Amino acid sequence: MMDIRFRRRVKAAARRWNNMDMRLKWGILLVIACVYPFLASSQYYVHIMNLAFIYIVLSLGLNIVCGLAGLLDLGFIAFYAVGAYTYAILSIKLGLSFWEILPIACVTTALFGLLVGSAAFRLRGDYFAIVTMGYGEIIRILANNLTFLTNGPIGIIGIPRPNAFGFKFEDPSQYYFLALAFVALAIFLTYRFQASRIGRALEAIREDEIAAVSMGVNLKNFKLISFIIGAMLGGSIGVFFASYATFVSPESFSFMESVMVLAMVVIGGMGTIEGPVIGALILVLLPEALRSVSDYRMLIFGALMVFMMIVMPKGFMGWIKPRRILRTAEEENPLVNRDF
Amino acid sequence: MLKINNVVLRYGGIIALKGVSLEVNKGEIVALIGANGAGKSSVLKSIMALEKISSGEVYLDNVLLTGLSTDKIVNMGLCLVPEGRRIFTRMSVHENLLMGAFLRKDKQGIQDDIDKVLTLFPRLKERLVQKAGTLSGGEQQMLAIARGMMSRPKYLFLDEPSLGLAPVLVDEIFKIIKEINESGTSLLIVEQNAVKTLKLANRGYVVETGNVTLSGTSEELLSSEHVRAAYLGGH
Ligand SMILES: Nc1ncnc2c1ncn2[C@@H]1O[C@H](COP(=O)(O)OP(=O)(O)OP(=O)(O)O)[C@@H](O)[C@H]1O
Ligand SMILES: [Mg+2]
Repeated sequence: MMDIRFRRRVKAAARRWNNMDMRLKWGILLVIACVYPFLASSQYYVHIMNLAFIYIVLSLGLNIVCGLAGLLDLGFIAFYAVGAYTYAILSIKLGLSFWEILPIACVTTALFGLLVGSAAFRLRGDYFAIVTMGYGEIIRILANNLTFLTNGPIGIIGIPRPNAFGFKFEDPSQYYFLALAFVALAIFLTYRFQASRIGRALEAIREDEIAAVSMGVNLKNFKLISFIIGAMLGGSIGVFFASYATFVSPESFSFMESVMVLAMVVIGGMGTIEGPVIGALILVLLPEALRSVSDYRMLIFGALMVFMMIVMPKGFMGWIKPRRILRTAEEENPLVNRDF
Repeated sequence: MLKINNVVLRYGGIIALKGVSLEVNKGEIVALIGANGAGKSSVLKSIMALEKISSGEVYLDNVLLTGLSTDKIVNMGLCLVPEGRRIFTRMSVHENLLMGAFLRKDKQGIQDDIDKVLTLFPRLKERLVQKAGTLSGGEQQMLAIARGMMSRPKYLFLDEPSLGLAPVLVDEIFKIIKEINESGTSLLIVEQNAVKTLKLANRGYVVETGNVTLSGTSEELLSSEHVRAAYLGGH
């Protein structure tokens, strides 16, 4: 069990970290992330971090839907799948490049988000969650059965790798900085989004729906926008995933994956930006760290997850967050434009 | 002129409004009084389309509002300060005011209006960066009204603005309401505090179990036997 003094020390350190200026904080993390591949003893560790990066972007995307708009989305992985298949199909069948497909995939996932979003928003609460579970499965079933496009359960192999200025991404350490760029961009966009007029409207909706509506916030539209933005983040990292794995199959997009991403968001701390990042790192790296006890790995992992949720019901960020009464959202996120 | 014609509102099986008609003329303060559960808040929610009415119409200057969504109605110059304050507790006072101006695009105008409401509510000025949830009840009520004014409404609806406030503060709020009206905003006020409200208002309506049972000028209502017995109590 955790010694109380140790816990205090962790909390104090975390608080100090938490009170640091947000730009400095991310700057430090970025520097650490940049030197990591040079310190990693093998490509395998770089590969694991690449996976963590993928999940960070996924959690950030889901966090916009769950954390900011307060919608329980249990089928988020569908957007990831749409992005991945868009890349796989277009790169092989039409020979388009990574950079051409990336914006196309953003558009297709956005459209898909719009489609399922406008259908699902007719329902509320638990029913909404069940519908999202449904579309997550539908995508997987489509991928299994539209054989002419997706090659069915066998999946698509030999997906081309991306190029940039004549440089070809081949091994994990070359992909590493591309993945890091996705993460950095996702974090930056999330901050911007949270600070924007839309972000503020979503915050208002989460706080008090009736008051928000009375101020002229159109509930449905703003929730839909958050859904689409989240979808685009998920879809774009799906493109990266397909180009990195050079292989996609329906198996990668199971319901369990949606649950994992949701767990990352919840364990890290919903509605914050550091939360999903921390959650994704924990849930990707922890099972790796536990490899030495291979037989009991998943057992310990599961027990730790339960334990974390008992100790930190509001996620890691909620756990370390001090009760700052006078600190406003404007101070927490300097990108907030006061006169949205 | 705001005109509500024969509005019927149902909550499932319950009929909350059974054909309510009333008007608010430009520049007026109109009081809406009635017992708990009479349907006063329902009238305001019907106007703002926060609840979907079964029949009847709402007109603003002869333009039909019925069928429009709440954000469109806010955009046309109507604004509700809902019952029970409902400020955004985790946002700062400043952010709450900005939320009030959510549909406006004129940055300069918004800034001017913030300055204006802050002179009206000096207590809020000192607490601009404070989280709204840490304000006292009275200050929260002031913030709710100030936030409502930020959309620069032609018609402002206040649902029980003096609820839970000390008498001194009630007087302060009523004084401010008067000032808001004098600066050109028409008001429809729901209040338990019938005497004070009628004294402030030009006209009033009495709502009883979903019907308007009495209406008239404030003087008429204040001297009516029925109103005295039912709502004015020992005053
Ligand atoms: N969402 C709802 N669902 C079901 N019934 C409702 C709902 N809102 C209000 N009612 C009912 O409609 C009737 C009128 O309610 P309303 O809130 O308009 O009363 P009110 O005059 O504002 O009362 P008070 O002075 O207590 O605020 C009441 O009988 C109430 O129980
Ligand atoms: Mg009421």
